[in-house]
Amino acid sequence: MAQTRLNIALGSMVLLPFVLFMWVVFTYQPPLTQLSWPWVPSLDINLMFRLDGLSVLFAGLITGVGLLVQLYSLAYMKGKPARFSFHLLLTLFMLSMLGLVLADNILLLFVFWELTTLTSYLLIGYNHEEAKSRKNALQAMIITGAGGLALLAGLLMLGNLADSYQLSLIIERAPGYQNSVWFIPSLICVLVGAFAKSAQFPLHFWLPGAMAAPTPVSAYLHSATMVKAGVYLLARLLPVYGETALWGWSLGLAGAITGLWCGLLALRQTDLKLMLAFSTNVVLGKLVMLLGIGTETAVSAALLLIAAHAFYKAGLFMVIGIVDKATGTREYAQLRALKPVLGISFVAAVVGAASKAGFPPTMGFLSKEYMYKAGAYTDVFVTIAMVAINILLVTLALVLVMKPFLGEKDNHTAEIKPVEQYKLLWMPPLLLTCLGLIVPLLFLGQFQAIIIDPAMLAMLGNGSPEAVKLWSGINLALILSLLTLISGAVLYRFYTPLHQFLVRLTGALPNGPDVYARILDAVIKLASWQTRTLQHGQLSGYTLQFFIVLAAILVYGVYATGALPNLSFDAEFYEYAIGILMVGCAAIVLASPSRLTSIATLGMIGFLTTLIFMIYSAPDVSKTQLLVETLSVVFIAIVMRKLPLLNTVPKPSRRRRLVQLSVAGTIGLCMTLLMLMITSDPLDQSLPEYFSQYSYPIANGRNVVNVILVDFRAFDTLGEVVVVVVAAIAAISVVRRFRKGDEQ
Amino acid sequence: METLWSIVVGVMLGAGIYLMMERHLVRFIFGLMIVSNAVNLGIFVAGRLTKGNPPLIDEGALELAEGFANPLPQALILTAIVIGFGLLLFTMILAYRASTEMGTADLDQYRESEES
Repeated sequence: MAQTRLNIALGSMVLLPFVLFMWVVFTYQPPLTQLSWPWVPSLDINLMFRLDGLSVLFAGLITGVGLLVQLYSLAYMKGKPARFSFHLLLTLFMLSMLGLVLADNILLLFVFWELTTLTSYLLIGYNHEEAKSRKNALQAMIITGAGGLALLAGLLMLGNLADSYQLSLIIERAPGYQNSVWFIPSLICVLVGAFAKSAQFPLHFWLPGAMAAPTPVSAYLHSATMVKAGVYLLARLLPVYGETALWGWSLGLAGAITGLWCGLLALRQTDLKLMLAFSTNVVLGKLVMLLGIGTETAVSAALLLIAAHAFYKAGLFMVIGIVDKATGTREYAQLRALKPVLGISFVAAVVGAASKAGFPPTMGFLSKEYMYKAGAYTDVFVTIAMVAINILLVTLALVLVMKPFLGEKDNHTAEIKPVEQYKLLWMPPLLLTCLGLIVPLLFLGQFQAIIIDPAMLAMLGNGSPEAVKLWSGINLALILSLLTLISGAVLYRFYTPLHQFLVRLTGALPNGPDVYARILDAVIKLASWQTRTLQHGQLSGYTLQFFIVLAAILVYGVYATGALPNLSFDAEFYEYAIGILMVGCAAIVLASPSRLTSIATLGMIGFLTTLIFMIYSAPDVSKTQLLVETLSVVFIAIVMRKLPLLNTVPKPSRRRRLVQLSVAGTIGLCMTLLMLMITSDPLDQSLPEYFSQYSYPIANGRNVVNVILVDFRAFDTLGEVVVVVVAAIAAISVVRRFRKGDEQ
Repeated sequence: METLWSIVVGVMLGAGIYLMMERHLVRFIFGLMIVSNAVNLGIFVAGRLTKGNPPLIDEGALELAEGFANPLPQALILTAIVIGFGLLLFTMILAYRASTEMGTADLDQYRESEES
């Protein structure tokens, strides 16, 4: 019974990507289909979706590859615990990714962006019993999450610049705001976010780390989806940023470095899955480079490469999964002569590797041709970097096929189980890799009409680029292609010494995970240091910190206001006398070791304040102050009898007293200066005039202060009464419960 | 006049804050009282000082006589004085309870809520 229910649940989750794929296919009418539902209308956030060439390419890959990955997982995860949650997470991830590429509102896009981070964290950490899985999942989340924060900042800046959060409007208005000061900062933030997500150097290392996930996840996350989110965003924003010089060289540089360095790192690996993971970095580098160039040919090449990569990389990952299932290892040193047992996987691997290497007439070949064409028009260094990267890919493709599948068996070779009896295990990879062959041979025209032309229209604004052709005569690109293939094969001949050299080289250089661990460690150390220093648990230290902050704010306030005050010392003798008396009283409280003297002096300060209110025409305030002050002195005298003497606590040290003095002195000085500045400006008379005019006619009161209290600001006064009552109730309860406790 | 009282307010505020940073609970309360007075005085002075013309409307008149004292800060301070009194009362009761229970008035030894 439970089994039936599980099957139904799994079946429906496999069906969902198929339904979505069909939905995308039937909803989309080239070149553009827009859908919108209100979501938070008051904030101008609507569920707006946009289907054009670019998003449909991604949506098709996400749902199509998603369907095959779900099918593959059915076989791959058979008998594993928590299968249901695995498929569920895959489905959630697919939906977030679909939302990301279809969203036409940048805030909506960001929400889906973060959802992909979250769901991919759960997928990478699926084997959560292993410490390494948890660590790598967290690493991926921290890096892409931090990138996400940068992206949010960038998108908000962009939205404010364009005065809209709607992606299509932002793109439409693009020429209008490119001279703003905030334009370049927004570009930098967006780039950080996209580079982190698409694993560009120096943030490339989380992607191979994410290989801790089960193989179907790797096939999905690292071919069609997650890592392409950054590329998608860059492609989407190409019309906004593409013209700037910063865009061109930062994308070119990041892409080229990522491609070359990760290509070398890939050749250094002995685990086939890790090798594939690093080669994903390489392809992402290529894509970023192409978007950096941003010409028509470059964009065509990028679109072709996105599709080609999704087909062959997902397929190859699945093949490695099959190898892993059959032999229990992915180390190529232990794998030999798999061809007789895993014949279908071998076919899939050969077709996939051919596309990866760019062997004609695969999709990979096509994209490489266009890449060289695009490179040839820009810069000789760009072309050289492209050729070098592609040579590395050719060598990698050869390693991937030759090492495990061919050769003779020997003693080190692992046992091979015939796992190809499960149809669902080999059908998806075979189908995927063969698509890389079928599409360029049979459906190139449709691909161009449905994907490339509309995407071109959306990204570059022109609708009719030249037709994409497999054979375009003998030209520079074709010669470079041939050169690449030959060099790759030659490099493969020298694979063993190269590998040894790379092991030594990478051992000598700092590697990403180590640097990341050191930075994380430093952050934690900093956090515990500042906790120890700031949160030491001593109350007097906390008050000191509080007043230091207050002093800093006041100093800034004085500095920012900056006006010199007018001074006037035209006061009467008795005013000076009261002022000096008050200062003297304050000094006595500071210095006195006796509680009684202090209380008496405090009472004096209170009564002197009463006098001041009296002199300056505030009779009501004066009366209130008199009553309250009397009560205060009585209360404090009563309570003081119960409190310890002043000499029971050690006097502060000299240094501490100096610190206190300077902080308190700064605050006092700043207050004086601020008040002098305030009183130097003329007073705004509108409020006093208002109260003067309306007190009698409206409120029928001749005492204006009273009228304000009980009429104009009656609710404030009510609140004040409530505060006093609450304080009294609280005070009573504190004493009462305490007394009861004593009696017990 | 305002210059004189600005200086007095500054000095009082400084003295009060100095006391509030001390370790003795009672000195902290003294500081609180001085600060409370100084702040009221500060608001009063910022609203300008006027001698001998309280904001009272004369019999028969419809509005205040020319040169009247600003009534708004007075109303604000009236509220502030009463609230300050409530605050002081509550602080003193808390201080009483805390010092009796902890057996000391040394604020730095009040660490019951800290993790040891």
